[in-house]
Amino acid sequence: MKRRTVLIGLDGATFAVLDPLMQDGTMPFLQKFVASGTRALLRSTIPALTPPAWTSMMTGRSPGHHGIFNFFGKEAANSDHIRLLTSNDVGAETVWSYANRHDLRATVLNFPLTFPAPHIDGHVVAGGWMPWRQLRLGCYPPELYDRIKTLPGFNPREIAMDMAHEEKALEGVKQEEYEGWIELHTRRERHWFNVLRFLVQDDPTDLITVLFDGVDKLQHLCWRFLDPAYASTLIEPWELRVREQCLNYFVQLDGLIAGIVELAGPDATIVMTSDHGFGPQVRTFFVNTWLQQHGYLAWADGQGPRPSETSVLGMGQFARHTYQLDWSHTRAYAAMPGGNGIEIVRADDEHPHGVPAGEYDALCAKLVEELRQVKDPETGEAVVAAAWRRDEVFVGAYHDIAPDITLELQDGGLFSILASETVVTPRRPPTGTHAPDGIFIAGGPDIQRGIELPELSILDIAPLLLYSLDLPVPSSLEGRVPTEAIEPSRLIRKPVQTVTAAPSTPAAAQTEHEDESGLDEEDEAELMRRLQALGYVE
Amino acid sequence: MQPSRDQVLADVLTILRSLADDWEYSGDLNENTRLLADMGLESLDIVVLGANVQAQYKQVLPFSEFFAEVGQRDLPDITIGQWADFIYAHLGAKPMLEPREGVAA
Repeated sequence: MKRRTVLIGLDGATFAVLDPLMQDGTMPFLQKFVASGTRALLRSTIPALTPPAWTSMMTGRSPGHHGIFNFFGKEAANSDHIRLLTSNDVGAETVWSYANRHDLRATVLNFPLTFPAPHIDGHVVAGGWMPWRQLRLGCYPPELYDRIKTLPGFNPREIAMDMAHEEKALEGVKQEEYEGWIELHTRRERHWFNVLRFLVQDDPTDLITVLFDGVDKLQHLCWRFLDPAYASTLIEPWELRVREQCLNYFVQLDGLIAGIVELAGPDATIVMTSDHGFGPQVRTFFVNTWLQQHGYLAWADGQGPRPSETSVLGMGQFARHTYQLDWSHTRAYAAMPGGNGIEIVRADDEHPHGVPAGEYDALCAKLVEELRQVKDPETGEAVVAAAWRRDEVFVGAYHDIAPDITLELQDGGLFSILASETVVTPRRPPTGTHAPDGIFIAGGPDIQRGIELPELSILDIAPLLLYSLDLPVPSSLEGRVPTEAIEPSRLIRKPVQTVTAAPSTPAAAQTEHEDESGLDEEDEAELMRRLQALGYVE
Repeated sequence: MQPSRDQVLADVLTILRSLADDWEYSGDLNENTRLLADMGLESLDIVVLGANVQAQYKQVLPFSEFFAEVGQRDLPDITIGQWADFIYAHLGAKPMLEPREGVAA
């Protein structure tokens, strides 16, 4: 077997949380691993959201090229209907598939957009919004489910998704529910580790990828218990217990990471990444209420869906907009929670009251300008940090099904698609929400020891994984192999090889030819400079 | 060849029986069984079941419209028979489901 490459995904992990946990001894293995490897911030996609970000990570393509902008997507350009996206919607080749085409096998555990399970040579247990009752359908080969269900302690209800639990991460739980909820996620990570250990021992593959998503869930719900900035506010006994449960989660996770590194063996290259970072969300922006107040949207019943005790953002509310909006008076709306995307209703046969083609650009420009002016009534702070038109950020084959406008909120938060009396309400205490900078950590004999690099792009991970597997890197990938993370001696022995064919068409890939030099001129010059600085060449 | 309504129902029941064993559902499974109220499924389960049906028949089906219609019912729920009826009614009506270009496996 060739040298193994392992990707450990830590959904939503941020150094803002991990660094203190490494320093205070909560995560001793990770501390040692980072000290003996390479670390960097990892810039996420726009939007910084799990489905587009992990898909970009595993394809090396940006959302406009792979077509995943959210958990949900429009059925077609200008369609009112949205649907849950599946693996069939991923429009770019994954590293798993690419490795297969080069006779390497892969293990894929708990990644979003892997249902229906891709038929790869290796193993897939689907993640993301994979309901526990149907986990069998998310496994490939099909008999895999019957093998893993015999593992000691295996519990499909805990390892896969329960929508009720998922909503709690974003919408909140009662005080007495925190501890059980955190313990569930602690056990859940253990289940995934057990599956990984079983597969590595029973049927090892070349590329092993596993995603632990409890980090994201805990940080959403328990941000104030994790962020050192809020430590002094934890006074009540129950708050201190929740803090302890959170720390225990990371203690356990540290042990699982250590276990994976040990299973992978001393020759393996280990890459740990997150799809985005995290920070506090201090307010909720009710974007559809804002659109209504500014004359862009009308509710069929005049008031729209109101937040309930258990629903603030509108998770799990998909499809309701189709009958709750007054389409004769709606020109812009947000139907999908999560991606901060606004859709413009374009005039066509089904939307006679939509925006005529000749008015579209002007409307988008006006909306963007007005959204940038939205202020938090308490602080006077701008609510919207950036508003991008899709022409600016979603270039590619799937441009036409991208949201027309995508917002980045000042606090990094997710807007609510529900209606409200007020456009902006404070979140007290703050919850956790996504931030653009995730983590990159790598280690192994081919990786530089003890260095911190400038920020990398999430698009650099697929090229790095392919390089680590000794595979050529398709030139159509938008990132690059971060050669500054690689041991110079390895780069001399195994220069980066690029192939000029697009990775997305297997037939074309068969006729691809390798760039014999392996490096473009700029890369080569940079490599030489670094090798000279290190004394490897003169 | 497009399957008959009986064949679609049989396919649906086969899938649901194989899954029901995994969560130890021991109630009735027939045309009149309700997916939510009787089987205890959640809305996401049905959405994912729909994705699986599309993959099984390699056929795009208008589930979004169907779910929107169900959502407006006084008691939003679907029987297995209604599920099979919907699938049968729309098989062959839309293009075949093909993975987007680029998904090799």
